[in-house]
Formats: sequence, C-alpha cells, structure tokens
Amino acid sequence: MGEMLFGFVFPNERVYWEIVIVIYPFMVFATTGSFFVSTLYRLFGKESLKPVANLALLASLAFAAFAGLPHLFHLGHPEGAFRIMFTPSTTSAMSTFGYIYGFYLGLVLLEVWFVFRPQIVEFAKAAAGAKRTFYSILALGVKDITEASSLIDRRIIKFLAFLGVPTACILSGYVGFLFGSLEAMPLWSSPLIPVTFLLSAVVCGVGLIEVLYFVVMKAKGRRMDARCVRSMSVYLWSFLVLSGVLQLLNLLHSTYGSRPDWRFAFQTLNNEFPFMLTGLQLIAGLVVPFVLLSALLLLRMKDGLRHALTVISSVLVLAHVFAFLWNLIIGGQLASRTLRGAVNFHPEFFGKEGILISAIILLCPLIFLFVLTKILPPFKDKAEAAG
Amino acid sequence: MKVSRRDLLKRACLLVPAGAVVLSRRLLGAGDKAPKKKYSLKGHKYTFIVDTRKCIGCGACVRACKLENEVPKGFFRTWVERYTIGKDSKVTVDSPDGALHGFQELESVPLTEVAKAFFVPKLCNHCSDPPCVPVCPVGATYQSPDGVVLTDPNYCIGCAYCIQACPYGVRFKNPDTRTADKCTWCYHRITRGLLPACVEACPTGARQFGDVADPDSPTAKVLHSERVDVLRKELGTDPKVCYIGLDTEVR
Repeated sequence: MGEMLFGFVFPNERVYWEIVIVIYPFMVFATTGSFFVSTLYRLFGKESLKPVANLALLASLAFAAFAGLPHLFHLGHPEGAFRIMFTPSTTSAMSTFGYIYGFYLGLVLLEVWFVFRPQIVEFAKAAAGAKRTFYSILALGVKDITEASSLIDRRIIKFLAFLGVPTACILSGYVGFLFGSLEAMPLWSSPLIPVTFLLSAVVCGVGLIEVLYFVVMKAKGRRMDARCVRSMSVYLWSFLVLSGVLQLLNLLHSTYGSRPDWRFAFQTLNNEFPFMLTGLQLIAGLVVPFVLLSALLLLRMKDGLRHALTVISSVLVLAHVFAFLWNLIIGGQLASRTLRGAVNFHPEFFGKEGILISAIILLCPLIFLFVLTKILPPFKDKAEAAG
Repeated sequence: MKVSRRDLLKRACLLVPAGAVVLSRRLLGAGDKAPKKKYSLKGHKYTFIVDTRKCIGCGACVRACKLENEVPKGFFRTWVERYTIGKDSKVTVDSPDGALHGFQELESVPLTEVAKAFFVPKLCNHCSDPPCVPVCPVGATYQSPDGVVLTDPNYCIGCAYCIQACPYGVRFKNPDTRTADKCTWCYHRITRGLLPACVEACPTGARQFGDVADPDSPTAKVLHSERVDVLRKELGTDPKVCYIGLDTEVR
C-alpha cells in the first residue's frame, strides 16, 4: 500500500498489486520459456540444445508447479481461490486463465513423465527397498521399456510438445491480456502487451536455462557444451531483439498516440523509477546484453570467455524481464486516474506481499527443481552432459 | 361499577401516552422501519443526481456514509472534491480525508486570486456497462436486476481486479473484510423505500436519488428539466450518476 506521492489522487487509490504480482508473470514466463527451449529440441529437432532439453523440461515443471503461488499470497481470501475454477465468471479473463494454466500444468507433467519414463523404470528395476517402491509408484505400474513401447512414447512426447507450444504461447500471452484488457490503466491498456509478454517469456526462458545450465555444470564440475551455449546465445539474441523492438514500438505507438493519460502515466513512471526504467530495463537489461551477444555472434573468442559472456548476458536479460514487469505492473499503478497526482510505493519487507515472501516464492521452484534433478537426473552421464 | 377519582387518573396516565404512540405511528409512519410492501427487483431505473451548484462541502454526506456502512478509516464509499481555479487558470484540487470533516480555507491560493471554486461529490457511478463486473473471476461483483452494481463480500476472493478496472477509482480493498468494497447506493435502504444515507444527510439537496422509471418522481423531473452530464462519458460506461453544473476540469 502507498500514500500520495504528489498532486491530487482519488482517496481510495493505492498500489493494490504489489511485488508478488510482479513475481507471478515472471514465473509464468520462466515456465513457458523453459518449455520452449525443451520443445526446440523435442519438436523442432535442434540437436544443439539436447544437453539442456531435459533440464529445461524439469525447470518448466518446477516453475509451473509454483506459478499460482504468488496469486494465492495476493488474494484477500486465498481459501476461495478454487472458486475461480469451480464457479467461474465466463466473462472474466482471470477465470479463463485458471483453465489454461491447469491444462498447461497437466501437459508439462505428462511430458515429464513420458520423457523420464525409461529412467524411472530403470531405477525401479535396479534399486532396492524404499527407493524401488518410490520409483515403482512413479512408474505407475508400467515397466515396459521395450523398443516398441519407446517408439510409442516418443510419438506421444512429440505430440505433447506439439500441443505444448500453442498452450505455452497462449499462457504467456494470456497473462499479458489480463493486464492489457484493463482500459482504466493507461500503461497496461495496449493490444501489443500480450505479444510483448509472449516474447519476454521466451527471452526469460532461454536466459534462465542458460544460467541454470551454468550453475548445474559448475556444481558438477563439468564443462558446458560449446555448441549448446552458442546455440542458446543465438536464440537469446534473436528473441531479445524481437522483444526489445516490440517494447520500443509499443512505446513509440503510445507516445505518438497522444493519449494524455498514457503520457501522464509514463512521465510518472519515468520520474519515480528512473533506475528501473532507464538503468535496468533499457540499458543494463537490453542494450548491454544486446551488445555482448552481438559480439559473441560476430567475433571469434575462446570458449571460456564466450560462456562467461553468455551467462552474464543471460543474468542481465533476466533482470530486464523483471524490470519490465516491475515498471509495467507497479509503475503502471502510480499515476492517479485524476491525472493530477500519483501514489507512492514503498515495498514492505515482511508483509504478506512483501520482499521476503516474494523472494521465498521465487526460491520455491528452484528448490523444487533441485529435488527434481535428484529424483530424475537430467544428465544421464558425463558424455551426454558434455554433448 | 364505581370508579374512584384515583383509579380514573391511573388509567388515564396509562392510556393517553399509549394512544398517543399508536396515533403518532399511524399519522407519521413507522419512522425508519421498512414499508410492508414487498420489494420488486424489476421495473426500476434508479438515478443519482448531484447538483454541484448546491454542494457546500460540509462533508455531512461522507460522515453519514461512514456511519451507515461502517466504512474503514482511510477509505471512502463517497467523498467530496474541491476545485479551485485561479485567475491564472491554475487548477487546484483537494479532498482532505475525503472531506470527512469538511474543508478548511485553501492556503495555497489567496482568496483574491480565485476565479471560481466549487465542490464535487463523488461516488460509484453504477454504470449501465460497468467495467468492474465482467472482470470479476468468480462473479462476486454483479449488476442486480434493478441496475445497481453490487459486490458479494461473502463470495469475493479479494483479487482487486475490479479495483484496477474501475476508471473512477471508487473501489477499494476493505482491510477488515479483505474484499472489494464500494458504494451500493445504500442498497439495504433503497430496497426498503428509503433514501441513501448521503442523500438523507445532505443539508442543501445537492444529492438527489430516485427512480426515474416513474416520470412523476422528483428525480425524473429534475433529470428532464436540467442540463446534466456524466463523468468520463468517452469511456462508454454509461454512468447512472448525473451531474448538474459539471466543469470540464472534473474527471
């Protein structure tokens, strides 16, 4: 909650959607973007991404499992959250999101099971005691991993990946629609917002998997696959360019659109969050990684330096996505509907929707991913991990 | 039967006041109690008229609303704004504590420099095409058949989507109930044939409420005789709160 920053604001105006609502689309981006990376290998046959395909799929599941958590922390009555699914209002964008999210989560879960089924069965057969029981339960009683059944599995995986692409696109784009459909909020109300969200999701996913791949390989003491890193840097560069151009087009379109409420809202955002807008979203998050990734693509350099620059670019790109969401969601609520003032925003540290809770929520999928990689190792052996 | 003077006085003392009470209830009605006639949801066209020329910014409406609806501190179902337009065309708007305690003299603009000044009461517009209704994911915000936009606090999950969707900033998240809250035109009163608390409390008649489905109602007569406008007409929300003497500076 905030108080008046300057001028005159309607007395009920506050920043009602706080940091957890920034985290919420970020986690949706993380899951759909990771799924996209996994699909590039599974559906589109990009062999160079094979080393990270399984990790990307597990990351997709981990983030999907917790993507609804920020929303629960935000709700005044989280115990009523399932009303969105059970007694939905058909006209509400938010209620439809529940179904898309549910379908996507089921789809990712199913794909993980099919992809890791051979491993699960192998563990169930080789292990003993509780571990054997655990993997037998995970195998759901199906221990047939013959060539014939594997062929069927592969076809199912391809079909799920095929179905997953539009679902992931709809999910990430739909989060944008949740904001973009609100005409009362000038910074949100734009038909370009869903497309911007869709591209940001891909950028976020590629960046996240790159960073996770680096961390996992460092932890395991292995080298990252050079071809894979190069391929990911190409994807990251391409989608960063698309995403950045679209954001700038949205900015230009709105600036020339001469809507006084948009101009006022953008000016307020620029005055209040100059670091987040110009510093992080534009320069550190967009221009710097663009320059670094361009250098990676154009110049010859050693693998070590190439990997380091890719990882740095990925971290900056993740910061860019976070800053984009922060500026849009928090920044978009600062300007008053009176167009004569703005509300202030001081994030709480210990509050229900504060910094600490947001950090914990962001850590949850990473912890879950760590557990998942222990149960379903994404890298079979040293040879595969190294490509 | 012999009745002593003492007994006669005793009976008179009991009967006269009781008779007076019965007679007064017959003659004056049952005070604030509901009329016996059953309320029908159909056939109403409620309209709220704000005559900005009559508002004196006393804040009686805000206080009445707070009391009637137990509105939490810092939030408002209705408030009053003061517009002060200087001779240099500079516009100053304020609403200290929603005008709960009225207004003090504005220090930032000297009285001699004021070109015009006026008060504008604000409340939910109960739009005919309300942007807050379709966005509610659980249908807790709805439009009743008599055209009043309401929120069911027992069903609202407190997502604040409706608050973001309202272009007039009239909605808020009630910190006590953790649900969306706003003006209901005192629905509990109007369905009993009473006026909203703010209308009842207004000493100058700046707030008028009525059913314009009845062409002979005082509200219908005002609506048909005065030049009225609504807030932010360009949004197409078709508000049912009409303003007399609305200035272009008011949003």
